[in-house]
Amino acid sequence: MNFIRSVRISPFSLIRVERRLPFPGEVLVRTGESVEPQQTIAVAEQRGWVCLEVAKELGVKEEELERFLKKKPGEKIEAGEELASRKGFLPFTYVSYASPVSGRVAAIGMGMVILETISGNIELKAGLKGTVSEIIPYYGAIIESKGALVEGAWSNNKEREGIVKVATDKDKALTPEALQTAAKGFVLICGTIQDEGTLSKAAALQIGGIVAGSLKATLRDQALSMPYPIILTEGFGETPMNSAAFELFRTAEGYEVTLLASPPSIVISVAEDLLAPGVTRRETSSKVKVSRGHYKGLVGEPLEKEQRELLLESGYITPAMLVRLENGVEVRVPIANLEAIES
Amino acid sequence: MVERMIAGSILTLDWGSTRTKAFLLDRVDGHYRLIAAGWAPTFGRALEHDPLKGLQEAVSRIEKAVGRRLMGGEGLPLIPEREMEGVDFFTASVSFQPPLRVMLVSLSKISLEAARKAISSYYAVEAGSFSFLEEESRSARVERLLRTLSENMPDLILITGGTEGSNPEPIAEMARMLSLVYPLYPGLGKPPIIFAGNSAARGAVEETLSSITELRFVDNILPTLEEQNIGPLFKELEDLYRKLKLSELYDLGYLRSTLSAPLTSSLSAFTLMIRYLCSLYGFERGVLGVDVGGTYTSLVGATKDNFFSTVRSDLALNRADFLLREPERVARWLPYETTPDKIAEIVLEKSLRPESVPVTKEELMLEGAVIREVLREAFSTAREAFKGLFGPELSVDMVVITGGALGSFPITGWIALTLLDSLQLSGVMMLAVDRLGLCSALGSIAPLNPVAVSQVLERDALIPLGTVIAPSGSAPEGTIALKATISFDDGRVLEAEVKAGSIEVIPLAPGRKASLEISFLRGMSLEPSKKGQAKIEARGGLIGIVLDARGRPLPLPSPAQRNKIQKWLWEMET
Repeated sequence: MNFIRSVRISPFSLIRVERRLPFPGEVLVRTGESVEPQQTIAVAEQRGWVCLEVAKELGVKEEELERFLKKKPGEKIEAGEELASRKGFLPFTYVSYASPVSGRVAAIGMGMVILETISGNIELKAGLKGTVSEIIPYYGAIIESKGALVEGAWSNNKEREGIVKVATDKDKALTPEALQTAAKGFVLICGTIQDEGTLSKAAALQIGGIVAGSLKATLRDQALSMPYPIILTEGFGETPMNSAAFELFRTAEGYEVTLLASPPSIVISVAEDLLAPGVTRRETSSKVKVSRGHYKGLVGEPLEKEQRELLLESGYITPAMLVRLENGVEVRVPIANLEAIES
Repeated sequence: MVERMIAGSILTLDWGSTRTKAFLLDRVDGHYRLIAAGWAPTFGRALEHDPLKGLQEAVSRIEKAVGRRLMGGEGLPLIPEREMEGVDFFTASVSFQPPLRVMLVSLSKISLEAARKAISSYYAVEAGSFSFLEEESRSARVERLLRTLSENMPDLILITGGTEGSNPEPIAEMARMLSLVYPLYPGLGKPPIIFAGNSAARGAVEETLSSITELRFVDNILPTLEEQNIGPLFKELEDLYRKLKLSELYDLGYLRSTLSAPLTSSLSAFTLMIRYLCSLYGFERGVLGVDVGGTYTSLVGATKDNFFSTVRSDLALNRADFLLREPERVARWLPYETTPDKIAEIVLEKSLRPESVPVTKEELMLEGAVIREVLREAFSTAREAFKGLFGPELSVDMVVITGGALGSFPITGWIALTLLDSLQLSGVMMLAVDRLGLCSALGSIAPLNPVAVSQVLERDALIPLGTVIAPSGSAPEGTIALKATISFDDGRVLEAEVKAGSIEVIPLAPGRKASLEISFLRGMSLEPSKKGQAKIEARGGLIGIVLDARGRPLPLPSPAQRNKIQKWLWEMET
């Protein structure tokens, strides 16, 4: 197939996911090690700093401060422990300076001491069950796994695991009423989300996450603020979920699933082909998905290998492909508005 | 500028964030011409961030068009040309790499604002800011500086402050403070530091900071409170962009050994082209370049003595989130009614699938409306600087439009209309469009072969759209705003009257000329000092002569005035 954007909707494939800390830390796993989704694979210290004007407090010159310090750079100090002192000619002129916080002496200069405090750790989880295939020094690792995979178009940057539960048909909106039966921890599959009540009720029910075809565009900010992950397979608007992804989720009902934020993807833990157990998949799919325009979200098969130029109503003349859509319609679609489905 | 001249076939790329555009140039009858062009999405899929795939596909489309193999077995251009295979030279401009993240360390809020303006001239974004002269204790100041540094993890630090002749001591103190906290930077690298403040503080800054990281000095960006000098900083940022962002690309396959000239940023290449055009035609008022791309919007202005650019990495057709809060800004440019949901949908969808194309005319109008507001937003922050360059009326000789979002718009007249609506330039100006996005790619050839650049630029890159005559002022809508006698170069004479609030297009084909005698009525004029009449020589183009009698500043339409928008769109639908 000619070069077009592609999206993976695969019942069984090799999955490689890069997991990375926002800043350098310590990687806790080794290449070849097996990991679980909730396993911490790297950790970084969240540091804070406290700057102390010690020279001023002691009444000494800035350049002389180091003479009066009890700690050197790199040394630890407890809150209340003496950091510096100055003896006078008489005993009652002894001036002591105690550290107000616990930490480590990070820097000394300009008459000041900077203490580094550790306020907590940032833990990086593996995110999915698999094997560490590559270490990213100081930052994380690449995790390899096998399973079913659906790549989404957008996520609200949250991640979690849950059990797949199909909540609506592929073209139906998830409503607050439909959520009555939803159980805590489930990942709900639905056609679209069109009202804010659905999002807030799902939060109240502590669901595991939502995978929808699309979301009403003006609900984006609310979706970003939800505590659970949301992944859209098509994007924004009222587009139903594409049938290739929906069928995969329907087959996977009851399976454990992981929702990953970036790139948005849904990994279903299976040991063999979800749609054809026991079969080794040989052929690559030649299916495509329409990503813009009247037929958005529909899956089809290209009928010609060669692309032809097409004049659109908008005036663009663009390479296009003749596609037979799942509803039987044969239509020429600009390749810029198509995504190849990689299985 | 010319380091060495080359002669032979040239393959040049503009490696954009959305599209990779490849161009094959060669000599035809002794002149360089564009032989073929091909494009492809730069990244086929999110999980495989491999720009070589876009390069290979774009070049393979040229191979198909010309029936000649251009790439070798490694998937990179075959160099040099041999028996109908390969090319002699290969160059590229790049804009898909992220912008430089610059932390601003400034003496005062005034110098901080100057630094913000200065970095907006390049492909850079602010990554934290610190102003020294705040009311607080020294220790609080150190903690704030350290927090800014560790939370933002910048690529580089820019120090500014102090006008020339001012006391250098506060800057020396600020440099000492930076040297104290710098070793605590939590990242793995060592961000370089540029000093662009009071030159009297250079010695102290060098003494304090040169031992901890790479330190560069440029002229003070704010030599006086009235004057801003960003040219030297622009060059330094370009150099660091090459070093910090482009250098890693050389490790892609055998790219390093294949390139005939260093990779350059698309912005720098486009700026070079705009400055070159200004000097080539000897323009007095100057040239404005407008590039609305996939991930950034840039405006480059050049006069014979000076230039100014502004880049907004947060603004593009695919980065227009600010409009989600103000959908009415988009709705006012549409001739039909729509909902905030539909506007939000197009804005968000375009960010997800930047390469998608509008199918219907309504979708096209919606994208055009988004581009208008993106351009207005980008121009608003730099308007004063452009007034300093082009004069208070923002009058230029020529505007060059490029970039995948606006330059490739399928209705040529709407490219011009979008530009006029958003920037509201006035006076007499020629318009040209770089439909293929060739300008930046040509900029990357300039150090090797300026002759090829000039030949291809004039013959193949720039398509003339025509001449716009846009008077300033306002007049009661519906009254006659201007009367024109148009004498064409084929002897025809045409009389035209244009009502205030409307646009008239007079066809004049590319290569043709016409002389206009115009009487401005009812408060309209080309320049405030020259009311009344004007004689104008107009050049033709795909649109012709545009008599824009809507006035300046352009009264922004309200959604209730959809008929007015419809009329403008109809008139300019050429």
